[in-house]
Amino acid sequence: MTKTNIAKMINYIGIIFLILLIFMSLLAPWIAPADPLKVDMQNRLQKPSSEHWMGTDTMGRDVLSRIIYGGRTSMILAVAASAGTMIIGLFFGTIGGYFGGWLDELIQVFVKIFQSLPTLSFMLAIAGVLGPGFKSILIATLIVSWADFSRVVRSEILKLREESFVEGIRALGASHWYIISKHVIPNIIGPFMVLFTAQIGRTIIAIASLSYLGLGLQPPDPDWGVMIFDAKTHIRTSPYLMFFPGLFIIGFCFSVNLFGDAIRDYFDTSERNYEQFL
Amino acid sequence: MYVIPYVIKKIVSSIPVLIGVSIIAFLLGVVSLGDPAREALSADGVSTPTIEEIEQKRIELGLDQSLPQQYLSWMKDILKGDLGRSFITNIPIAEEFKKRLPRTFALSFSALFLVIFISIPLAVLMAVNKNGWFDHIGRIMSLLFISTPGFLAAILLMMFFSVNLRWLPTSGYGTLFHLLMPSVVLALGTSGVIMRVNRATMLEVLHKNYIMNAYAKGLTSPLVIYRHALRNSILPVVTLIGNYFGGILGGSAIIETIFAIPGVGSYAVQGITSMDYPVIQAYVLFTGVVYILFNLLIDLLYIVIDPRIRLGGELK
Amino acid sequence: MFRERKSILMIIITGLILVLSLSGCGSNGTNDVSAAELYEKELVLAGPRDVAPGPEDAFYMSSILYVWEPLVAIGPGQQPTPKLATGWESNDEKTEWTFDLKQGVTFHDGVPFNADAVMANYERYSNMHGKRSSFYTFHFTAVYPNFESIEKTGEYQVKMTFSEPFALLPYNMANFGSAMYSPDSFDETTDFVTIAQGTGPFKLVEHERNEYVLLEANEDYYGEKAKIKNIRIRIIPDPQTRFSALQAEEIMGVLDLGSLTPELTKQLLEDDRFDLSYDKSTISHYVSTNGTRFPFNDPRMKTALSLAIDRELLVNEFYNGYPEPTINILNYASPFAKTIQPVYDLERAEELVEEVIGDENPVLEIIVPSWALDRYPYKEQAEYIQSVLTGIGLQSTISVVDGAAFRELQSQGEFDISLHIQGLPDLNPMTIFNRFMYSQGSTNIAYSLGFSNERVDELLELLAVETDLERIKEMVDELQDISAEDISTHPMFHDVTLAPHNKAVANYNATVYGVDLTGVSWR
Repeated sequence: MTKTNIAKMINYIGIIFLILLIFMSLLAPWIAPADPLKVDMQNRLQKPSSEHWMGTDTMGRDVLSRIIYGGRTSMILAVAASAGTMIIGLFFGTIGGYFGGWLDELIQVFVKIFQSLPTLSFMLAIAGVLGPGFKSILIATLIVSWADFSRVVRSEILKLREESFVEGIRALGASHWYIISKHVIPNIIGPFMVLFTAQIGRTIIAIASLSYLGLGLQPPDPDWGVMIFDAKTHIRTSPYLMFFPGLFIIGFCFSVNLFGDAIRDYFDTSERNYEQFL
Repeated sequence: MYVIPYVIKKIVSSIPVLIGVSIIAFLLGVVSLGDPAREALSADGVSTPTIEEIEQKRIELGLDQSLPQQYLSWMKDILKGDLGRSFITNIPIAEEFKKRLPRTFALSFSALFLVIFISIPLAVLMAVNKNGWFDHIGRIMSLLFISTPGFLAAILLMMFFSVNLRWLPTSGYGTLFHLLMPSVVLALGTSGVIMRVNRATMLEVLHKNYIMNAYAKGLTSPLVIYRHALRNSILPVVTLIGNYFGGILGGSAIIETIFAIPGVGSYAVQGITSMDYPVIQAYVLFTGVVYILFNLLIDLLYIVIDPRIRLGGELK
Repeated sequence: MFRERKSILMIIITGLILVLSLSGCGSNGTNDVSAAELYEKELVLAGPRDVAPGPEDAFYMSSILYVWEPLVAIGPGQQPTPKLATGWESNDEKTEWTFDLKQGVTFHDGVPFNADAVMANYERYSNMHGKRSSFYTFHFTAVYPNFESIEKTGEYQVKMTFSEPFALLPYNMANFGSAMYSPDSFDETTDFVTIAQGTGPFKLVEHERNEYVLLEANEDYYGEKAKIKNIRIRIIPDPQTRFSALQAEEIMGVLDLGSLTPELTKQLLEDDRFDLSYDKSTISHYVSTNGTRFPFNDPRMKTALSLAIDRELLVNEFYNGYPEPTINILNYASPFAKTIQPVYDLERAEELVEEVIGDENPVLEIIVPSWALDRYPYKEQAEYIQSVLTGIGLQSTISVVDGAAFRELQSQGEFDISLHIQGLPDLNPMTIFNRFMYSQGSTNIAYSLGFSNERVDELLELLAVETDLERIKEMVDELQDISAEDISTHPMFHDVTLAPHNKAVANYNATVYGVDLTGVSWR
């Protein structure tokens, strides 16, 4: 019993941290100690001090302020991309897996086409067409990842469809919508939340990776992933440039994960039954 | 005995996928901003071609034809087994692929090997120890894996294993030692996800009634985990591995560049940034075919792993 | 079962440690090795790109490998100097040029170098109309304008005839303009059929595309022979990896364009094991403005931008102070270049901007090519320019785009400010003026510079037929002065070739383009 309580405690900590991060971004203009875009060539690469808590970057900008503002882009982009992916994937995965037949076959063809596209080349191509930036990263992420989600959803549903309780309910005359919303979705929410939260981490990292090819979010706007990328040249001389944004990325991913676990626990009927059974 | 028609059906259903992939492969090259004729003429970085030179080059490269015409002649060559030549270097693409493929495959498969043989056992241990210290550490680890960009992991590993310890070569291709760091980096993100997913599905299965029944029947724990839980929890994981193999293959581009392994991934990145259409198209087509073959294999694996899906479920 | 696996693992680990410690001992072995042993010891270097792209490239490999040699080389003071041609003279009209050839030289495959070989090479060149190369796209008509014929006038003499006077011929021929290969190593398609066979102090013996190039000293070389038998040049595209490889002593030095970024070079030099050699490079950095649309269609705006950028600061903060800040369009490695000091005057810049912009509020678009980020701190440079613009009351955005998109935006004129480099393709100063400042110049059009100056057009037409070198020099001087006054593109600074290396190698000297490999030896 105590073990579960500790786990719940950790979950709460995660959620509180997440809320803090969200408030930090919302209130950025009021709490940031400096202008995140203010270039100061006389104060480049300053170590953390009382004036600049997290030091200054290669353009002499205040790192803490950049992290506070950068959270806006990073978190919005990550959440929007992941949520979008989840919704599209859930939609196609559910109708394909649940109804089957020609509709499923058709969806599967598209799923396979989109899955087989090499992610990076596709992102580069989109950046080439729309011009690099927030919009193209969002669209590219959606296009390359929805198929993965939908496939996982579908395979989970295929597994469920054969299970006795679903067949039983269907025999009782339940509507499709009822079955999907009351039984199918709660049953797949576990692996689904895990994928969703993982996707958030992956999106932030994808931005950093695109930066490797020079096509991430555009300077000088701050973003956690881009900050990490920019810091790589200075990793040996000014490791704090890498450390602080890294800490925030991991903190954010971690709390989103804990949040996901909490949601899963809430939906996880079988587990609740199991605990009652004990 | 139903296996053969099943496989044939799977292969037939891949045909529209292949056509779709080839169209997108072709379009990907075409839609990007830039002019391949100009790029082909600016490879040295110092000269600026004139408008007339560019125009002449366009005709030489067949870019003056309409898109459907270009697509059809490209497809015709592909079916003849001719991938064309790079616009930039004029080197036959097939020749480059032959050289580069083994390197990319070596890298991708060793990464896949690491993913499977490290993340799945860890996930099972985590699930069995739910909320134990091992579980917590494992979860933090998987998060670290997911949220560490490849280039960062690469720099850190190099600093430690090559510069400080001098155990491993920084870069290059040749021995297993050369392959070790790049495949670890490549496996990192995917391992993190698989660890989490497999832990979650394991947990679910562990709490299913039939597992409880198995316990009730007095079966000992490891046997239960193997015979029932792992087998049943592995299905979505296998799907994921199928998904992420594409990702691994695609993700190899940056890793190849960092570790100076001239594989198809870095070739593709070069192709994309220089608008080398034939290279981009060949690459996308290649990943498409590999993906389809790999997933065919996974479909077959389903039959082995999950008796419920066995043929009937899919064919209905 | 489990126990067994564990023991296998132990064996592997022990084996690994053994192997590693043994190999470690090997390299630190005895100190007093003989000169012969040092000669035999392979030297490993690295560069960011394949320096020997192969048979489809016009030159097969870069000049920095010292495998092929030209008739005319780049000598001290960047003047054309004899190499395979021992001397040359022309008639007064500068239409007939006679070249005397070096005797007793053989190509690496044993074929003798003589007038026949030169004829065969020119036969090949005359068929190259924009032949692809990673180093120097070869347009025969551009390198040899108004070329009529080449004939053999002796076993070791050839004569070239031109229909118009061409006083700067040797400048065009320097280095890439007159590379000589064994006639047996290429065919009529102008592609190479074997590894290109030159006459230089090194032979190319092995080439694994995009992996490495292996050079071997040419022991029959007519001049000063190489001091190391084998040099392997690995291709490591990522600058961070090259840095780590230097630190791990896997490679002893780096070379080629973008050998190591300025910041990483600085970090490397903090370690006592490393040293730096640097020299003028033919690369200059520019900021080009879009002269085809508001606001940079107004020359006052160009002047304002030029005055507002503190080039000194840029060079000192981001390039360790090595390059030379300038407003001269002609690179300082050119034999005709003169020094023109940049002027930094923020107040004047603000006034000019005020005059031009008035009440309008344009948002300027700065574009940066993504490939440059691997070599230079271009993102920082763009951010600096942005902050400068903010300082003089102009808003701007930055877009990092891939090379193809960059060129497309440039040619469509969909940008305001672009950051780029330009290398001197040859010693002829006309090339850069013709491209950037001639009203129909290819770069002028392709970069949307919108530049036009009647005096420049006039001078360039005069220069093309001028036969007197002194007069040419005067006119080029005038052109340089105009370039600083009437801005076509904004020169920022003339770059240096950086050749950081391990102190274990001696005479690792940077040259205008690459490193003098012949002189390099183990310490």
